[in-house]
Amino acid sequence: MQDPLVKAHLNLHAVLPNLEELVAFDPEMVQLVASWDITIAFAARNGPSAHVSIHNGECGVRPGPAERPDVKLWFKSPQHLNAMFDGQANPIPLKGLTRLGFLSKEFPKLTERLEYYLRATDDALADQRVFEFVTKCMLYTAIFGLAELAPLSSDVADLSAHTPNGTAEFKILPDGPTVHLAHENGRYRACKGPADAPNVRMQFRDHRVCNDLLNGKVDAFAALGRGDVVITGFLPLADSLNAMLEHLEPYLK
Amino acid sequence: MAETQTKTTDQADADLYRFDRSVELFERATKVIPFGIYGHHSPALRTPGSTPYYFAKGQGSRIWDVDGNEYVDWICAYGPMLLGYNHPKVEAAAAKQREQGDCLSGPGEVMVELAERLVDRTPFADWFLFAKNGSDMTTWAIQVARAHTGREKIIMAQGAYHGKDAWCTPGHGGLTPADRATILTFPWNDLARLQRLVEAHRGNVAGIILTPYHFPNWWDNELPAEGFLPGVRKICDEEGIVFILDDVRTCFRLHMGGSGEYFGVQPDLSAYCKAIANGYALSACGGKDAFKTAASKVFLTGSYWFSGVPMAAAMATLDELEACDGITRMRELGRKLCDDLTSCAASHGLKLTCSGHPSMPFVKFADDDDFYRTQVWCAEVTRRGAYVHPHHNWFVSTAHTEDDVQRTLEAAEPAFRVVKERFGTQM
Repeated sequence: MQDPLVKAHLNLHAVLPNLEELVAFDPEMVQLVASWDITIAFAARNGPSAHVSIHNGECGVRPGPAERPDVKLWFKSPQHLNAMFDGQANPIPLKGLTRLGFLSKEFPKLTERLEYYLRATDDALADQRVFEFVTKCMLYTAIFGLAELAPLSSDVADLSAHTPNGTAEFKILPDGPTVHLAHENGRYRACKGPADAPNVRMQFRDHRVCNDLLNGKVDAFAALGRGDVVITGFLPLADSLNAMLEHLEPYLK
Repeated sequence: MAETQTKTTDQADADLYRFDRSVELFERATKVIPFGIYGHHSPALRTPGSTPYYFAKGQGSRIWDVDGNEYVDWICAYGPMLLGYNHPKVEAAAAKQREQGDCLSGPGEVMVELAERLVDRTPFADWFLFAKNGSDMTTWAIQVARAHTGREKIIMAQGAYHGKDAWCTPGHGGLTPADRATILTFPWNDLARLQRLVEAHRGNVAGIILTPYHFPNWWDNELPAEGFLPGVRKICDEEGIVFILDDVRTCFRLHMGGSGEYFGVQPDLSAYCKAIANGYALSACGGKDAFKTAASKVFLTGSYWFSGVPMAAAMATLDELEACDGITRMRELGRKLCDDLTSCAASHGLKLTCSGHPSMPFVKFADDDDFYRTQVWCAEVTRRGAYVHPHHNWFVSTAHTEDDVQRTLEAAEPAFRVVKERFGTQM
């Protein structure tokens, strides 16, 4: 059974940050946000908060409240926030009423485009560039998602309690992307880019291998034996995180 | 000069083992077998690409992989190989029993003989029964503890391995929180924490299950601190808790009376497996008379658990182990192996550590908690003809000789050089 609080955290802290990649990848989105200068804050009662800042054509998604948001969107519960992400509810604007037109017409172009990629059709994925972009988003979503799931979900409490401290680095060969996840006594933190001194490194031979693994199309142990995935360092950390991924999958479907 | 060195290096690389046939078989396997190879034999837990996946044969202390590469085997099938592969006396006993029958419509005389034999040699035990794998016996033993006490909680050491059953394996698929709801853990050797845990659950702890010393994968192995095991015994006696010894990996590698005797403690129940029948599928659980009635209440059976051949092999294995003073031999040779390897490492400015009992050493580099050095070294050693493991304790058998140690050093020395080149020295 899905926990709405976990799902709300995933929506804000694992899915929404893909906007950062989108505005750097999609030419239409690059053009769309070129002149935007706005910070939008999201906050759910008894739930998570985050803010999206788009300035000078660049997008940043950060956890927590914004100092001076232009628009403040409030949700009466995690369920309410999740319903908005599912396209079945609207937020309650607390600030930025003059930007309602922007919110209802312009911003959705961005989120709809993100959804297009996250639910990409086989035809769209036939384009290698799109495939690699989607895979990158999947990898980021999975690792940032683990950072949310591990401390919150009762389903993985026992697993999390047995997860060793340390930093796991994930990289798609040959040139990335790279992302890492640090765990210390039940606190998890995901960051894009390589880690300084990872305790375990997990490397995917290419985007196809990473995509298939995250989509559950291949057996991880078989992929390791074939050399499609290479893990070096402290394997129990990677093993625990891999086991947690199974619990993340239903939320992200 | 540089050119000569390059050629020498190239030649050395050409001499390293290749695993083409193993990889080919693995490819086929992944199409028809989940994991390709599962469990502790999965190459994922070693150094894939630098280790054989499939083996063709074994003889004495040596194994040959499907590519024809020969190894001094320090893994011994992860423990079961106690006297060496294809030991003539064990094979003769097994063959004789096989002629009479293996899996019959009921147990054979050999089952009674083996139980009598084990009871005779095991000071604490008044009875024994048999199964196939370690998990069969550890899981059954905790059920006996519950049947005996009418309580539900089981205490184990953090990170300890007691088998593949749901109660003792955190994580992985197909589990629910309920599977481990009755399991409590404490840090190995921390008697005070154990005492507090028992007090917190007073009257509801059925059993404490421990290995005789702590050998979790991925960590240096720890022998019991002075007073720890007697302290556990005392707590069990005072609180009416069943003391279960998981002797699955250790048993007759340490002492003919089981490793409880080696460490000077008598459990109430003890599970045996790996060092009992020289590779034939057999596990056993022994217990004190006081637990025999409870034992008889816990259902226990399996299609092949009464097969005579493994029991005959066990009788021959125990005979031979006693006759050749195998426990002393394994301990002494294991100690020599560790001493020689650590000396060789030191000559390269590297610090190798061997923890645990000498006949089951856990070998890794010091200050290598992430195993990066150890993984590279073990891969290089394996590709030069000694089968070793970067994350699991090794095993010594009575078939190993000083020549095997020397052959291992010849594989280890250039591997140390590789580690030094890649990671630098440690001294």
